[in-house]
Amino acid sequence: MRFLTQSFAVVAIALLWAVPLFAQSDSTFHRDVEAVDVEAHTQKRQAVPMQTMSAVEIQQLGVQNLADAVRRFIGTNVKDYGGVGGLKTVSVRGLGAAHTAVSYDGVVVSDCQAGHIDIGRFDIGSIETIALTIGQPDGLLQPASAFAQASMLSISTRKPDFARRQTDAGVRLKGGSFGYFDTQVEVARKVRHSTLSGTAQFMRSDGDYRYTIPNVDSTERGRRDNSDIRSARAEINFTTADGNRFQNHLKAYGFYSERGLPGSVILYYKQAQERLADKNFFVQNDARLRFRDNLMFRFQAKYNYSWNRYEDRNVMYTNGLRTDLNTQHEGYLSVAGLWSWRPIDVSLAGDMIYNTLESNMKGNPQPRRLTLLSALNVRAVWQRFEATAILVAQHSSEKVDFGSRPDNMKRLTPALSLKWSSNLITIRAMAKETYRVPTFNELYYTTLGTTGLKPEEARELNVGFDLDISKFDFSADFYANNVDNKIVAIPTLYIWKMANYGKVDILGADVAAGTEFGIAEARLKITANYSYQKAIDVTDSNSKLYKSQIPYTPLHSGKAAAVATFKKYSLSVTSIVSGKRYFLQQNTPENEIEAYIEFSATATRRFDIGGSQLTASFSCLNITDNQYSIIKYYPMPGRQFQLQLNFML
Amino acid sequence: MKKQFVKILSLSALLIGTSLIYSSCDKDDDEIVPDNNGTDVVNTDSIAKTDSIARVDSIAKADSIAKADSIAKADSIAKANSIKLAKKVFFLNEGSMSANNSTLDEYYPNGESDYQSKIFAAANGKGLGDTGQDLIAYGNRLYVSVSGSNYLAKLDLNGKIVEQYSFTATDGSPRYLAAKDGFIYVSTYGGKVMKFDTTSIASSIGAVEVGTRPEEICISGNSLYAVIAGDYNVAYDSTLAVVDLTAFSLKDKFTVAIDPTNVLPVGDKLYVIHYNTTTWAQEIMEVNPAAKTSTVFSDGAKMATDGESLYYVKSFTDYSDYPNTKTVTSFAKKGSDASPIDLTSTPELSSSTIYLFEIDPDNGDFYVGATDYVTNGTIYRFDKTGKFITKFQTSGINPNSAAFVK
Repeated sequence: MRFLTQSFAVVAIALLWAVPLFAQSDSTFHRDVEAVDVEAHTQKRQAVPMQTMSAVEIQQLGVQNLADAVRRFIGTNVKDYGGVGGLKTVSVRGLGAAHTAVSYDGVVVSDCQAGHIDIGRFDIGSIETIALTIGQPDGLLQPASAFAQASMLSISTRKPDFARRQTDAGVRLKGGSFGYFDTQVEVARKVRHSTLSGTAQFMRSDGDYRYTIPNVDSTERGRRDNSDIRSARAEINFTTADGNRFQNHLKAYGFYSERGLPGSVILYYKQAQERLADKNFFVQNDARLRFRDNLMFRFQAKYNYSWNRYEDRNVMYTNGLRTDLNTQHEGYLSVAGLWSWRPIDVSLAGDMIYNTLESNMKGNPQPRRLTLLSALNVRAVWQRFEATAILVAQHSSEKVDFGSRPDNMKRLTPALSLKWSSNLITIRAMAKETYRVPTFNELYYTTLGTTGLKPEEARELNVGFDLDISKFDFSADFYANNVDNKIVAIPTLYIWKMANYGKVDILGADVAAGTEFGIAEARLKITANYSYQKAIDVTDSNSKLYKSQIPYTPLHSGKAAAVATFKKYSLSVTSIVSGKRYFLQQNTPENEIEAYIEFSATATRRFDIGGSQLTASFSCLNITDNQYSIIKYYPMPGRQFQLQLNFML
Repeated sequence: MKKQFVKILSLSALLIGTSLIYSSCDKDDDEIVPDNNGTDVVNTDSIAKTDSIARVDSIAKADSIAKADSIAKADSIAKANSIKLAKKVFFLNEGSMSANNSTLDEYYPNGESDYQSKIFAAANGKGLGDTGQDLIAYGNRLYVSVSGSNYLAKLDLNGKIVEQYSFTATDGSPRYLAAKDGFIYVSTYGGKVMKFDTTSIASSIGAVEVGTRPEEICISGNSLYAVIAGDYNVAYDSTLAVVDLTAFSLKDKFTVAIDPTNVLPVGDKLYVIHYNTTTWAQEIMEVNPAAKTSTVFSDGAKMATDGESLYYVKSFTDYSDYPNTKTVTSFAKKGSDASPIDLTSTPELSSSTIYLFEIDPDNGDFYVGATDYVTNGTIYRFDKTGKFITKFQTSGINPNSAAFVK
């Protein structure tokens, strides 16, 4: 470990001094200058694996929600508990969901209590681009927290279009099976260099879909119960830009939802009584300032409030009701600077994050955590070759009202990426070490939590290439990851306790191919990818689990999509295939979840009404009515239909 | 929706905290006495005519025919004979929470047949369900409480459902079982002990409120004892409820120890396992029900009796090399310094988590079930002198109780 750290440091310093001697090519500075949304870069030709999906693709492919979009990316493993309200988390390349950072319009979203982010709550209809980068993000002018995790899912919301008039407005209506209804109104107004926009959204769903699950020689049929959801969201955005000199984005966001938790299907008994209410409010500001031609700064600030109330009704509780209340506050500040001395770019970012958790949970010590993060990036470009070295320093300390607290955690983690590209091919290599601090639940949850936990470590190695031959592109990446000091619950003395016990080795390959051709106004785009992932438990060579594939990780999986467009029409067919997985650690037949294949189709037509535009899409999802599940005993919906109307002024 | 994660964690903790497993409360002295009540069988037949049972019946029949075809004739004859003659031990595997993977296995200690896995599924064409909590044999029938799937089933000795009762939301989930004089008693998370007549368990014939979250129950003399654990979210309870079986009413309630989970009668004493909620270590209390007194007897996590003596499992976790914790397990007999079980042939047991500890009332054999909570369990069998006989794998996770049938 230490050797690795030192090696990276040596390489970084060597590059810093050596590269200027040879370098002649342009710096990459312009990438950060020109693109406010560096996340919106094309997925090709990056030093790290990167995949994107645009609003147009989302609509054409009939993508349901953010989880549905992310599971079309290669190397991802989305845990989807089914239905609109079901928890959806994303694990990338077998590392676990807590190693995936999620950013919303440039600012990292966090949940110190659970560790992972429920990506189901983000509205797919407002998204301009989704990007998943494995390793560090491409742009250098980023907050330190963007470099501190093993992968990052960046969500960029739609920007108003003022091409024709100073006011932009739109209405979206969506309706579908199982009582699904979603409406959104957006209004934006441009005044000189500034834009003020507002969005309001309401969504509801009953989610009471039918399912069948096998039960030995018989079949259990049922209907999902207590899986209704209602949610409302409002956003206000104020952006100001003065060419490339100054850009500022202020956002206020409010979200409320109330939903039933259907729970897993329990044979012979329906008991779902659990309800969950969520409130989330945040205000964030993201500013970029450019001085001269070679100096840029970025300032971010955020205050986040999140609250949830979990209720369960059962005679086993006093007065028949259990209520858990959790409130989290977060304060966040980040400063980043980017200097360019051709052909070297250096950026330095520092973040300060303060998190609190208040809970009515018995024995919860109301923890407060202060995290300091800094990231130093050095990028050198020499002709077709580009090298980036990153060093992230993280320090976190905690305070509690009573009881024990963890030791302060400090860690220095390096990353290095290399790229060589020509018109035809881009070859890349990346190595990165990251770690995640234990969540509040892992540290303090009654009887289960252990304040002696150390951070969980993840290491990634990737080599790959992109090939671009006229209308055909192909990419392949091969990776070796491992997770060490994995935080798992282990039984000791008949009580489960969290411990840094697990070790996981992951070997994988992601292969993607795409082609696009057209005659006159007709175009056909076909993409397909395949993923191999062997993620095995190597914790204890004496265990029955030694070298078992970890739960919920298929060895083989793949996705394919075909989109045909002709004038104002488009038609798409998509497919997701997953091999068998195990829902418990032991790789026995009874712990298997069957392989599945899912097909969906979407037809879209655009209407031009005066200067305005109406887009209508009709989707049939899970066409074959395949009864499958991603999480065992959380069946996914069968065949369903959806109609979407999008009117833009 | 992160609450869902929280809840899974919480339930895991709760599961371990509460489903503390096994049924060493020896159910009852009469457990092995054959049921002389002929109406049981008659009644079964009439109930089998109801739609749902009839369906199960026909499926099971089709299955058993199909099965018989595929088995060599000699085998099936041998098995047919063994069903009548052989002594059997049934093992209930609890499975893991919300995974519907509870199973029932059958073992022939005298070797008439191989170990039979998942006999409930084979006999009924469907799974036992979620979280099999307790299993007893009574009157040539098996009774199993399935806590997650919320039902009590009466099974024949092939594991086929004869009759069942589904608990309502007001009843709460069924927990532990005890039997006496033709009645089955079930503790439920609705705070009750419910009473069923073995002639028909299709409906309950009475219920007594005993307190929040009763766990194990046992019968001694004419009294039924239930440990009351309380609502861990609000306040732990620490009492033992005493139910008079003649009047079937709550006779008494007195304090034994905080968060009690198990109770076992030996002689005129009761032994209660509870959690020390500060250290989360488990302790055995010796209770004198006549005097309503309770004293710490030993640390201990499981108990069983051969009808004369108390045997128990001591277990503690060594945190000195945290997070590489080490569990140290040993076996003890009350009033003796020597280990009742010779672990030299099975050294791995001394670092295992013991989930099942039962004694064959007929010959004193010990059955010890080890778990790691994630892989299928292992059962170790020792004779009454403590000599290792054999070990075998169960068909499910967390084997928690055994029932013996002669």
